[in-house]
Amino acid sequence: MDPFNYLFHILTIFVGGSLLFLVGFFPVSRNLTVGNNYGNSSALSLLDKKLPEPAVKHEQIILMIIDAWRWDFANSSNMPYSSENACNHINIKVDVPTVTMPRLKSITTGTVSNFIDIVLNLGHTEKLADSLLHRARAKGKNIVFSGDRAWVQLFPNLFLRQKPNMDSFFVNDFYEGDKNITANIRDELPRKDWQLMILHYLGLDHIGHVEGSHSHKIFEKLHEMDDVIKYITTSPQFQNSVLLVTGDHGMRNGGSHGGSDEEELYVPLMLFSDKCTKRNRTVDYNQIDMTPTMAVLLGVDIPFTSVGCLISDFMDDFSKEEQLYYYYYNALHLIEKFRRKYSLSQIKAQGFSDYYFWLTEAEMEHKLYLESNLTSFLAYEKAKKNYIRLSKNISKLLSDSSVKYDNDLIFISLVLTTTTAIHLLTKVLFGTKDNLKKWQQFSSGRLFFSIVVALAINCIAHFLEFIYSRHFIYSAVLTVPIAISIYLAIEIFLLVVQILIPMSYDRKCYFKLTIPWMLFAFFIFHTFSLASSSLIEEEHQTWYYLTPTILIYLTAQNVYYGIRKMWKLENNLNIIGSELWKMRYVILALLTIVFCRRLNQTGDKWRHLEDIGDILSKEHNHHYRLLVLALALICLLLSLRKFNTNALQTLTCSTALVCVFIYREWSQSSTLVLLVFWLSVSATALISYRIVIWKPKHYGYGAKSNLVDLLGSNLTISLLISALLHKPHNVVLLPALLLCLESSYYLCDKLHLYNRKLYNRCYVLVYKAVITIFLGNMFYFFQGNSNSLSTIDINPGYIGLSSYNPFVVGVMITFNTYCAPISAFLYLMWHMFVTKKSSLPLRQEKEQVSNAQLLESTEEDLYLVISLFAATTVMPVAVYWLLLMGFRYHLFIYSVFAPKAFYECFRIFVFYLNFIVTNLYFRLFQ
Amino acid sequence: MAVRFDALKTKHQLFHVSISLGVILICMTYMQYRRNWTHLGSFWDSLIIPIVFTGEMLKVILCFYYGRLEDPTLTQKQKQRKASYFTPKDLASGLLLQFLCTVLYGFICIILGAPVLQNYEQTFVLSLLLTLLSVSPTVFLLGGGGALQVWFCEKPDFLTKTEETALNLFKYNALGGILGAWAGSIVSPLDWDRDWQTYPIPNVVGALMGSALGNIVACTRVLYATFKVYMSKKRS
Repeated sequence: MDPFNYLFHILTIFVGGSLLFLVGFFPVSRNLTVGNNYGNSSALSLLDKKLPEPAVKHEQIILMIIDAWRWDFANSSNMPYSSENACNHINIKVDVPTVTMPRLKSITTGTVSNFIDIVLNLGHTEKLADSLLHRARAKGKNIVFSGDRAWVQLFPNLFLRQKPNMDSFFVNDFYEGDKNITANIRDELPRKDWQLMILHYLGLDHIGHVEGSHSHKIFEKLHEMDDVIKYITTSPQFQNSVLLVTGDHGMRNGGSHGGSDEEELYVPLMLFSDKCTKRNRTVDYNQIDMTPTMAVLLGVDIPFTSVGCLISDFMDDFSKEEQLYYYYYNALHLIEKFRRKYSLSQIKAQGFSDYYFWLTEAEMEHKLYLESNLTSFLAYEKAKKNYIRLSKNISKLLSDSSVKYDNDLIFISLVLTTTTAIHLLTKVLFGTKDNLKKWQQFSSGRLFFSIVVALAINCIAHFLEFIYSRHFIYSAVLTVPIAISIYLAIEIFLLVVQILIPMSYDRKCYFKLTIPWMLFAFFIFHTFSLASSSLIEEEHQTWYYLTPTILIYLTAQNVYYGIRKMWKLENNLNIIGSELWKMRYVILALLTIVFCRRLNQTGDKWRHLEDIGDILSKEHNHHYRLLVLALALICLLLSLRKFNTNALQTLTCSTALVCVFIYREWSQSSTLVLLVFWLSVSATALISYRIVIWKPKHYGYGAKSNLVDLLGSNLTISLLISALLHKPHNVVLLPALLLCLESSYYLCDKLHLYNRKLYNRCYVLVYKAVITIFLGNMFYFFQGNSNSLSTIDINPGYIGLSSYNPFVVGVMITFNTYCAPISAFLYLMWHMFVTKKSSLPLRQEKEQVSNAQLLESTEEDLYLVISLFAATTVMPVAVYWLLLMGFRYHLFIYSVFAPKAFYECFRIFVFYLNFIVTNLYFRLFQ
Repeated sequence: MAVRFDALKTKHQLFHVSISLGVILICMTYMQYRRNWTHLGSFWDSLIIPIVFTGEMLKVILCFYYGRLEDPTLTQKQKQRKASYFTPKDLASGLLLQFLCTVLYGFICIILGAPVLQNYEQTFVLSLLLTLLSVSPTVFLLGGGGALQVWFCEKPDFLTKTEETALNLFKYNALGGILGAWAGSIVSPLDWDRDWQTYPIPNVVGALMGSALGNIVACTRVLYATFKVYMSKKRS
């Protein structure tokens, strides 16, 4: 089989397997959003007896959210007034991820956020269909809001008056935004036209992000919040009202949030009311319990999505009859959700029938209490106890069961990806003596056998209920991955047999690569570092450390060999100087790395540090920003000259880059500028492609150089587009990437020339392929990416767009994010073709082999490099799936490991697309 | 197998290794005594550099002591080199070499992620320590020119036997120190929130630990060789 075909199939299978894995690992929640409404809109009936609907107790409810207000901030020394005067002060537990947007959704809808929801809603914050606010509007309640902009995105057109912060993500704003909110309270409190007021203070969170959790500003801010609470509760207008104060999530000791430390997971919830019976702290509740409780306090319907139970400490304002009514209401609501989720047989099998018993008992006692004219205290207590017990249990069940793995799918996909990866690896590492047959032939007999076995396995697994039967077609399709894994497993087995017991000499397998131990160690280290949550969070540090180490090692070796060679002739310090001077470009590349790693702080631990990007984006550094951008563009143009042989092409490139500059400087006339930009990019492409288009049949020796041109122009175009999409200060990464790649290849080649035996061709090729991956990854993190979903830059998706187009936005964001790996791969391909041995016959009289010829690559080398590249890309992902399976009960599974899983899957997918496109070029134009 | 057992060489090696291990033990005790890790990165406040420096000097003196016995058998070239050892030119070039190495190590530290605009002192201490562990012993022993010769020549003919023994052991020290300092960085991204995770501390401790490990390996090899000789003697 042709190696490219083989790689294509293997990659397809691997990508498919990875997708299957993700489907199994993150089953899309079947979250019901429509359903029957019980409750206030249709009065309840208890055992055929109509219940009177309780009147609304509180005219006005204020929900005050203090971002990142963790539970131990609410003590008597930080917030004396609140902790003294709160009617109720409880701690509630929030769910992961501890990020504002999902938490707001939890508070308003009462659902546990499913991980897949967060990923799917990442690009655009979709507005919610059903929530507490919707129900309030349906009841004709007016809502006013001021604070975090996220609310306005979640609930457009729901507020009577809204005063969102100008920029919620501007972290250096500690006071201004909060002052505006407080000023807004002064305006709103006297008015009586609203029933729900939502306040969202961001200052605390910002201080935490910038200054850490021990900053003195934290305590000043807490005092300020305390004063706000005091102001509200002591104002004369605060009558017949309730103030709920809570945090959306906590704050880690470093000051950030997003993970699942205890400090992030617990937040206080305080209730203030003008008439209250004082209570102590009580048992912990969940954040989702706020939704039904607030609905009841407001006197609106509970949103259907809610799975919370009522916070019984907050119900004391109601009379006993009303309390029972609301407990009954929430219990019915939950049992309805429960019924939809579980079939009758499941309920019986898993011992859930108790719940119905409790419900019946509670209903009986409830009725008894009503019939006794509200005097039977025992009946009331019994009914209440049963309702609460029922609600708590179902609530727990429903929120737990939203995380359910499809173990059968996970198992099948794991077997598939693992066998695929091992197959690829054995293919890359081992070869037979005659190179032509090394890509094993496809055997239809073996395939047929595997299909039959797979069918049998599938049937047996269904029969034994290892695989849950969902749908006939679905089950039948599962045969395909099983069959493929069996086929691959057979081949691996045969290969292993061939290695261990060679049948004949010419079919003997041998280890065909010279593996540089250092690269291998680094690769293994990185792969297994993915088992540590903090090393995933700080993965950039791994790359920032390992890649320069390789470069320094190569440079040191080069210098060492160089000096040694010269030392025999003359020995003085000048030689060292001259050798170092030869390495000037490499040293420049190393210095560029020092600069680039400070462009964007990423990861988690050092995120809060100020970086060059932050400094440049300040308003008074505008000129420096432009200077850096201009320098970067000029450097890019200079380095692009290598790929453009044509003067015209250089001209179009410079036009495009000038357009980028103008676009960033004066964005008013952006449409015209962007038009010119895209025109010049297409002109650049056209200049290279015209030969192909006008002379489709182009045979002979010229064809090779033609392909080089095309690959070069592809790289040029991708770099030009990246220059437009990148943030202005990040553009400098593009020429830096080219410089680093070029100088590392130079180092490898030079080593080969110094010592041809130790650093043979294969060794050099392995170095080149792996170092390309390392550099690609390093620059990927230089750009500010990380393994947390929050760092995806979505701005480039909207450049030049006036409306939301999911496809274009997706492509542009992907292209911007994965620019470095894509460009590095393209550069490697281009390099392999530039150095390709010309097919012209060598002149015989030239006996001495020149250096340039030593560095030429053959077709074999190209196969080797590409398959090695693929294997090196695929292996960590395959190992990561196994690790993920092992860590599925880890504390950080949703905060750290799961986002990384999406990143890995997407990275493989991008590489797959990149490979396909490049492969097409080999097919079409060679 | 007739292995000639050089008792003097083995003694030298064992003394050498025990000096190295002793120095590191002293460093560890000192660190334990001070308890506060943060001072490790400072130049004036920490005794690590002087201790290591003394240790390296002791090793060189040890080498001179054993080399003294060899004096009568020196060749012409070896004598020449000995004569040129304490000339001002040689001293200057030795100092320059060490200084350049310190700068080079500092540069490498910065490339690998040390802060650029701050922590100069810490970077200086780290690179000084690395220089002391890797380059300085050779320079102290052979002088600047000699050290360069040793590094970049196949096999310089002016080395005496004791010097060769010492240089062999210096290699373990240097390699262990550099690798240890390099590997020490692994603790810094971990989320343990300890004060010793800040920049130069894991690397300094790593360098010391690494050189200890290197010396232990060297020691094991020496002892193993001795053991083999002992066994073969016993058999015959």
